[in-house]
Amino acid sequence: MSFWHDARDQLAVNHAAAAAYTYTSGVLGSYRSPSPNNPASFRAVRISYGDCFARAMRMSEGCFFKLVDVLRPHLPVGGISPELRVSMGLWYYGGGSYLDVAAVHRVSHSTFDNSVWEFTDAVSSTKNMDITMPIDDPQWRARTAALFQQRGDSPLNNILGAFDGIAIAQEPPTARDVSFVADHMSRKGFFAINTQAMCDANYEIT
Amino acid sequence: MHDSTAFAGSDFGAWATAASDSLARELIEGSYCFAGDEAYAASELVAVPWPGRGGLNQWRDAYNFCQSSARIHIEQAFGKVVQRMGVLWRPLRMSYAKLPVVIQTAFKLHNFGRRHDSTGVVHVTGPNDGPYDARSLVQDNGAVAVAAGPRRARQQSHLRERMTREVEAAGRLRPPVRGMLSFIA
Repeated sequence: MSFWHDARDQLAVNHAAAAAYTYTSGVLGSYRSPSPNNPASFRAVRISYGDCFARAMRMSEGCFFKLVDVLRPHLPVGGISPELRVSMGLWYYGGGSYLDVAAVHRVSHSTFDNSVWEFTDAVSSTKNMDITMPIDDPQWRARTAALFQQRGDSPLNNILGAFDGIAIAQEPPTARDVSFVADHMSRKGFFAINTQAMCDANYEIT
Repeated sequence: MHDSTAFAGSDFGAWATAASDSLARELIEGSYCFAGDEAYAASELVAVPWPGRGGLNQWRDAYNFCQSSARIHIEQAFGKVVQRMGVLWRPLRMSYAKLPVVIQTAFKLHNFGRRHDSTGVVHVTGPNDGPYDARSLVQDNGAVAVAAGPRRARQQSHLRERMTREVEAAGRLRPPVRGMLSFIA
């Protein structure tokens, strides 16, 4: 019983903190999207997610901060803090609606959009997040083949990767972008982009 | 677009099919290979299952079983990426030129989570948190049953034959299929 009271009290405190923050920042009373010059602090965003932070970000909090550190050199300096940019980016990739993400982070929709692309560029330009396969490294080969054999309890000890295709749904492409739109209809019956990928025995895409 | 067409158009696919540079020869000499499903063409670097459903001899069938246990990893990896990256749950709504980088980023974030998330949990929203549709629009695009045919029969792959012999040497048959009620018997 006392546990529930404690949890609820804590929740109330969290809400009060978030609400107080929002209120004192003077956003209430305006139906326009919040000013991009006045984004929420990461602290306020963190508080508003409460226990659900890991679920919203699709990774543990420790992993989140590791990602922020890795991306920091590649994110724009000034303006929105790296933590906010990463949390907006992750929540977008996690499936968040731009309306909700922009509201929680208190930025305009265009700032959110720019921020997601800056996040994407940062991930793309981070060398050690590249999708690579150290195929010319004999140690890696031996390790990977052994792991495949062990995971599958298989007599085959020479498999370095497994690959397959996946149809990722997209909105119908426009005739301006592609030469023949019907080519992009998948055999599953929706417009899709065929993505080929290879992974190792640890489910990492290589 | 068919899987094998897309594969042949990719850098890796062209490399593995040609298998002409020194690295490819080194891998072949080391008897290494990559596992694909029956949508792809067999080559010396690409191990695919023997075609046909029934009528395979027991060792070819056993090889198909062992080979598929390697392919399970990519199927599950796709499942994990899609589960984690909710942006893939609905049609991607952006210009065509941006699609590849977004998909790659989703894969990279998945890898980052695999490597650095010590909890090992794929954090996803609960059933009431979001618009997750069980009939996800992202579906596995492989595993079309390909009948044994002249085109398939013409594909020579020493790799596949050698691996079949390895399975035979290890004496590993496909485990018997247990019926749903087999615990009664």
